[in-house]
Amino acid sequence: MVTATPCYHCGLSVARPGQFTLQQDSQSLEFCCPACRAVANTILDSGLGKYYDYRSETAVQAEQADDRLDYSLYDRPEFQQDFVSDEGQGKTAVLNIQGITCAACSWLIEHRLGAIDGVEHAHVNVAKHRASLSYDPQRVALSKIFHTISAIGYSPSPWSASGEQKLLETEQRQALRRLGVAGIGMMQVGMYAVALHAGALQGIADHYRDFLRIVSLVIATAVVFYAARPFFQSAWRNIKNRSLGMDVPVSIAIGLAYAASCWATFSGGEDVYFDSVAMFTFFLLATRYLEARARQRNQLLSQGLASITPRYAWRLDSAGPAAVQIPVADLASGDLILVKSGDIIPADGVVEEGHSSVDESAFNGEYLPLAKEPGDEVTAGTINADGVLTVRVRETGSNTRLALISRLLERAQQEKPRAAQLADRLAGIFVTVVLLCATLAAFWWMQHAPERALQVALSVLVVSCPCALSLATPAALTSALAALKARGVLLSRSTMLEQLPAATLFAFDKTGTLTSGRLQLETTRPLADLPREQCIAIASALERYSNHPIARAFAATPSALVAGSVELVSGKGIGGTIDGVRYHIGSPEFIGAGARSEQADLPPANSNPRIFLASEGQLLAVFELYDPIRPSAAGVLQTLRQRGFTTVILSGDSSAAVPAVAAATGVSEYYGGMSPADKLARIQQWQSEGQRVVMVGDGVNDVPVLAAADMSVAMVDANELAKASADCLLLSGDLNRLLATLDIAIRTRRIIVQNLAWALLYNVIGIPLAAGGMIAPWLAAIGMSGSSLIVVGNALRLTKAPGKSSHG
Amino acid sequence: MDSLIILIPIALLFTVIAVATFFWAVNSGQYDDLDRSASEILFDEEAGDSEDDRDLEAEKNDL
Repeated sequence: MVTATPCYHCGLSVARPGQFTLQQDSQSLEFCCPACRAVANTILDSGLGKYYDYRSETAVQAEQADDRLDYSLYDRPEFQQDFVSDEGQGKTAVLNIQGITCAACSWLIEHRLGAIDGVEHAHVNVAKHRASLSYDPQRVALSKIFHTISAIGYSPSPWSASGEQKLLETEQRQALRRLGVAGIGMMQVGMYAVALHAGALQGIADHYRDFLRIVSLVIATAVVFYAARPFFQSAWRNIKNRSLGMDVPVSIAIGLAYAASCWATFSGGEDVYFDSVAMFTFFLLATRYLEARARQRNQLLSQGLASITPRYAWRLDSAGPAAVQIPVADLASGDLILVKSGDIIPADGVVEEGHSSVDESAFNGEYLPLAKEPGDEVTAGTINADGVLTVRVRETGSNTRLALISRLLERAQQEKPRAAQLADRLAGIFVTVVLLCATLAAFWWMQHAPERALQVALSVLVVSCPCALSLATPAALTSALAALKARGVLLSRSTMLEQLPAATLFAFDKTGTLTSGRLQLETTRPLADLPREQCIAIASALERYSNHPIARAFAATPSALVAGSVELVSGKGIGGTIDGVRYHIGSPEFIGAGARSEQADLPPANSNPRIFLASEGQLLAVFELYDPIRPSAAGVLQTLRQRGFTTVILSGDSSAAVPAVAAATGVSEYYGGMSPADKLARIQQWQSEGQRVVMVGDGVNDVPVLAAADMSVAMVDANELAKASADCLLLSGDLNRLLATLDIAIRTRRIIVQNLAWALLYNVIGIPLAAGGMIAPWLAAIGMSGSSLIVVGNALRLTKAPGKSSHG
Repeated sequence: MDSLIILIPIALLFTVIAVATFFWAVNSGQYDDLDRSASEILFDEEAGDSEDDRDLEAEKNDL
């Protein structure tokens, strides 16, 4: 694999080194796109270049500077009430910040905001992706704060606590308190246990022994009744649903070991197991806490449906000609709304007036906007690229196509084939066998030495303490999650790791997954005397006035020229005067009659979109644009095929670009022009043929498919809904991370199998000995703790870097 | 050896105080952001002179 230069800001490989550079301390920094360069420039100019030294994760690729983000709205009190509160003279605002990848981000944001006059203090919570800041509204406008945050590459939005989020927070604190009690309890009881074990070996007066046992009992009671409560609750739910999950043996072990120890304490019996009870509880709570934290972090990365739709709309009231800005929730079917250029369309409806092109890429995977005329339908969540539209609202809120897709998503998730977890399956068998052994042992001892029967039965149950068994899977998964996070991959469903090695087919979306999803200028062919650079400069000067994706391709080549009397014709092109000469750029129909006849002589277009530059009827140049294939795509797909996986392309795009990308990545099976329903049907057919499908995608049109596939992966710049529905999120556009995930999944599976094998071996040896009444209490304690430690230690091997790195 | 009868309850009392302090810390949100605190100390070390005052102020406000 060719080692590509990484972008100084976001770490993606730079397609054409030397194209976007910045001079810093006699060093030339390379960037992947003008947006990243702009962000880095702002950061370095404000003297915060240390961010690049501090950070432990690369930043998210910057968005093109975007005029459609109009934050001035948030200066108005009626839009502030959700997230701004008055505090004496100043105000306090709480913002959601997308794009935070590591602790250095908090440093950067706080210092940048702190430098604004009027911001009293800013605090960023990295774990929650949230910033709270107090500011003086007299000296600084909230919109300026929003703009400042977005200029350094993050996207801010108002934060308002949903009930669900608050609940999650309470739950997390509760979990941490339980963990603390279990941890402190474990240390205390452990201390007394050392005294008791030493006493058992060297001799100890009965009243001291009993005293130490009672103290241990007091502490263990707190651990069992407070810290271990979730296990009992979950086990009870399991029993009510007649299923034997892992929590059933866990509860039996904790409950019985505690009960047996209490009984021994008061009847002067031989063994107490309070130390094992506390340690077992602590280990299990720790792995669950880490798992929950990883899950919560992933949820924060995807904000779901709410962030796609705008928060306000311009309603045209019959009373006056001027449009009134209202919150989107107040829109009703039948309203007439104005959608300005660059706005996100707030509801489904029909165009009444105006011409524009609408970017529906999130829905259909096509990167070129569709022309909309009166009578055409528009969809909530799509972006009005250039014209102004008057739209009659048909459906709002939960009735829009967008909401429909999200419901489709919920259903698909419910119907998702759930692979039974290895540990859960084993747990059922394990519990049955242990209970059977204990009963048999009790029965046998009842015949021969009735006074020992109860004690032996208890010791079978306690020794079989399924610590190792129940830690085997979560410990491995937790350390795999940490290992993946270090490699820029976030998992939201950890069972995906267990299933991934069994996958057979990888299906890829094209736009935004295999390709970068952003158009770039491929070739410029001058057709008249004007030199190439001059043609590009003129084109860039004109395209600066447009929001169209094609125009954004020209933002990479900023021009010193300034166009006057600019005329924008939606979906067709742009006209403008530069140095007294009239130029037109756009589709063949737009550029003028004379030029049109000339362009007929040109060689036929390939799959790439082309636009033409003409001046007063004469064709000057033709520009060919392309959506570049990610540099890692071909290599990764090649490796996947070598490892025996099938690779397929499923694209919503119906153009010739699909076969072209398929050829470039060596994929022989590809489908273009697929609707979300087509994709879903295709996936389900594969599943019915026994394939295990991994879907890699990024758009809203991929959402139902991502949910229905056995496993799903989304790219970081994917649509919010797609991120929410995927099992796994790649934090950069580098597809090599897919291979890294696969490697870790294979190693995780191996470690889980080793752990389970060890736990079973331990029990196979331990249970017969206990049933024979041959296990001394100190031996049981060492055995239990030792086997748990071995399992945890084995799992920790996953966080170490693999022998050979799969990174390109 | 009878000192054990007094010392162990005292140890228990300290344990209770430790747990109560921990609960207070959790409830006042000190453990809400574990990602940041781990590396925060590294950032402030080299902060420019002009930033120092502001940092101190910001930290005071955090507490």
